[in-house]
Amino acid sequence: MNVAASPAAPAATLGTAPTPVAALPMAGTTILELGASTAGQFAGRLLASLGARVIKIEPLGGEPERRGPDMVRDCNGRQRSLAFEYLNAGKQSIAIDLDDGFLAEFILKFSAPDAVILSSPKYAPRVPAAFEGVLAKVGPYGEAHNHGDPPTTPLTRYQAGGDGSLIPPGPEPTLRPTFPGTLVGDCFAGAGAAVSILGTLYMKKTDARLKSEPQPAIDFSQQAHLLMIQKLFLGRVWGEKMELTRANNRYAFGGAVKCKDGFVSMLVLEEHQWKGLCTAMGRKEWLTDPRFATGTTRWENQAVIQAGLEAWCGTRSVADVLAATRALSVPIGHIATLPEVLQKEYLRERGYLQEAESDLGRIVTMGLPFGRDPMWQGAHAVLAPGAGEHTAAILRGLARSDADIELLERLGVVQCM
Amino acid sequence: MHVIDIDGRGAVEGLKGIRVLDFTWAGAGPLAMALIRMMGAEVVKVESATRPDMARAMARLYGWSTENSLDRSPSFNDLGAEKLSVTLDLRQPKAREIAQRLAARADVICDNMRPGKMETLGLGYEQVSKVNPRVVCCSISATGRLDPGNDLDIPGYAPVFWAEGGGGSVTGWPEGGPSYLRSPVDLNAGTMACVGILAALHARLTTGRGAFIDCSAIETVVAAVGDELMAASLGLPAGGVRGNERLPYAPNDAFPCKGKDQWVAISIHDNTQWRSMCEVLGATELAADMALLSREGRWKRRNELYAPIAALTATWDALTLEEALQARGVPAAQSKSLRTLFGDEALNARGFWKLLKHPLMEDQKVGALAWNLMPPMPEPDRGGALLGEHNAQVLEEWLGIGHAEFEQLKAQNLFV
Repeated sequence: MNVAASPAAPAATLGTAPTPVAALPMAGTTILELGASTAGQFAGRLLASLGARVIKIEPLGGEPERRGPDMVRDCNGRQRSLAFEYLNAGKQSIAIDLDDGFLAEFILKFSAPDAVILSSPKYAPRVPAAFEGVLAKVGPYGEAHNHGDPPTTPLTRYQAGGDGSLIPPGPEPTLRPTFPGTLVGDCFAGAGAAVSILGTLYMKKTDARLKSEPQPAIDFSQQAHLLMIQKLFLGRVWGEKMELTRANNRYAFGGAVKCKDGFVSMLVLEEHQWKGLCTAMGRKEWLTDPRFATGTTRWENQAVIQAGLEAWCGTRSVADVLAATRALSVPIGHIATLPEVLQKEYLRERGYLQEAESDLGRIVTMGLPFGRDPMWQGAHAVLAPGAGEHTAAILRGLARSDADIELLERLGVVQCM
Repeated sequence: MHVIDIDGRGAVEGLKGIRVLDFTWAGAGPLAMALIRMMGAEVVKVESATRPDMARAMARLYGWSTENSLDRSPSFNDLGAEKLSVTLDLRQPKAREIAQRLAARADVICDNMRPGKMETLGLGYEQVSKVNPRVVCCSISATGRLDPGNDLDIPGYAPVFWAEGGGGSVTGWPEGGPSYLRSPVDLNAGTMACVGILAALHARLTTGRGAFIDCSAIETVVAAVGDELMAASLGLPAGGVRGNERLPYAPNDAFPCKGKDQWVAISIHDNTQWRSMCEVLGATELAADMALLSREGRWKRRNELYAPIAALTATWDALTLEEALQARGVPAAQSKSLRTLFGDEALNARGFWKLLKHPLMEDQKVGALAWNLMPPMPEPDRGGALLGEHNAQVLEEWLGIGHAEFEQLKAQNLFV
């Protein structure tokens, strides 16, 4: 029995008990995940953290993503994908032969106005038309793509959304386009998909037209969402008829700057921040230098500022740079490695990072980034369920007898763990 | 904003009836409010000429140009589309009182000021909820509220959130060092804040009570690197600046195409994809190399594969190659620039781009919601408001302040 994978297994807390599921905002809502994309799975994780009951409907043997990198062996000798564990923590799992008519029967058992099928364009046709709930199709390109549902990877999905052409920024684009941490783009899109589902669920209860619509359908495009979160600069690209590239998609100065023992990252926009930076660097003469009088002239003379900044930071530790600049309200951060992120007290103080025992060992878990209101403080999910871990329990909840369940398993229709 | 009745059964009006008071001003908050607005809520921006939405002054702040008008920013026209604008000089007690009266009638209040600022204005959640217990307040800041006595104060924008949350340490090329993302970091924080707002509104339907969302932008970055952070917590090698190298794909990289700075990203996982890629590119030598017909073989030789593949892709148009590879089931995508995406076939086919009108600027193409709903949501057609354009309208509709009283208030220079 994989105790750590149970949604009920709480992480260590701050001394206060986690809020019971029934008091969480999405309690009472059921989400069925059927062939969800990576972004869809992150949306499901968020909804589970908000109290929804999220059931993964997996093929017999489990979803192929269970074998995705990086694989880690647990205390039972089982290989587990960390990406899968992260994306699917807090959910339940039932394993079904997806080509058998039992799938439609199962889905219809959950038909309700506030139920959701979280799927992909590829799997959505398997959802029966009689299902009365929200059908959310989350895909890399949405439904309207000339090659249907083409195979994608984290790299290709990110490049399709525009931002890949902009990183890494640098004065000369000598480095080819890249992408951030493996799941970053998918998690960005998953948050957008969660918005689409939450918005539709709310409107289904309040909007006269949607109340009468048996199966409202969401067609979510990851590519479109990655563009949505470019809105700070899309207007400039359109308005100035210009092209944003890795060469000009950068700050006039600042960005990542090397210190003696690491990097800091900064952006100075407002005059009081500029004043603070000059003061911290001991360059008060810059405050009256006409070359640096406005944002525009600072852009024109960015090389001078950057050189001064790098010289100043390069002889100091990260801690010294942060102390000197933050005291003067300069927006600056420490480019933290992941082990350093784990040590940040302010992330633990709010209960966002917690530690728990799991089948993989002592592990850090993440909650919701919304603070301490009990509404956001449900038990942290630790690991994903095993494939079919909840098959029997879910079917019993649907009034199926143990004999029924055994027969379904012998017929190869379902799989229990 | 216009509604669409596709079948004579009535149009979806979305969040119509939800009143939102928007004190946000920098990236994350305005995007959260844009999402809420695009779903149909009424969003009233509270700003001033001395403290406008940053997007209004973006060109000057970033140094792109000397454009000084707060009403001619394409960035604001996009992010601020369909929002109403009220200018209140919150340094004045009388203006704060008006803001508090508006807050008493709001369903949602959002800010992205540093923790404590709204409280000094008498607009904190604890204060407003005493008179308006149904209010949902969302405050977005770098760290969120910390323990009393913890004086850590991190002012910040995207590069700070990205750095502190671990994003910088997992992005970039080894030879270039850690790298930063810009707009997506801020606007992902706004998206996550919107998740909280909608969940709180949903809960309010049952409880009748509002809630406080204390959104930490740094935590929203951590959430996006959560899998790698879990690995790090187990003591496993995780993260690091490693370009495009990712298990289990090899090759997995951006390859040059014809033209300046044109690239196509290709990821190969299995032999079928590998053979297909070789056929499309005419890579006969690579295809004939039996040692490359295994995942292990390709992974071990991933670095030496780059040059011969790049030599072949360089003769292709990037979009043509993307389509040729995708048609053969090979994961591939042109590294599309933002400008290119204005003409993207898939985005156009789904009606993503909308043309907005603005009284002082040319028509502007902006992105709508990333999701289409059937039956359809209302669609935007009006750009960002002029600064203070809706002072009289909002005060009358929300507070019942008539023309004469409004003129009296105006004479006190409250609306600047």
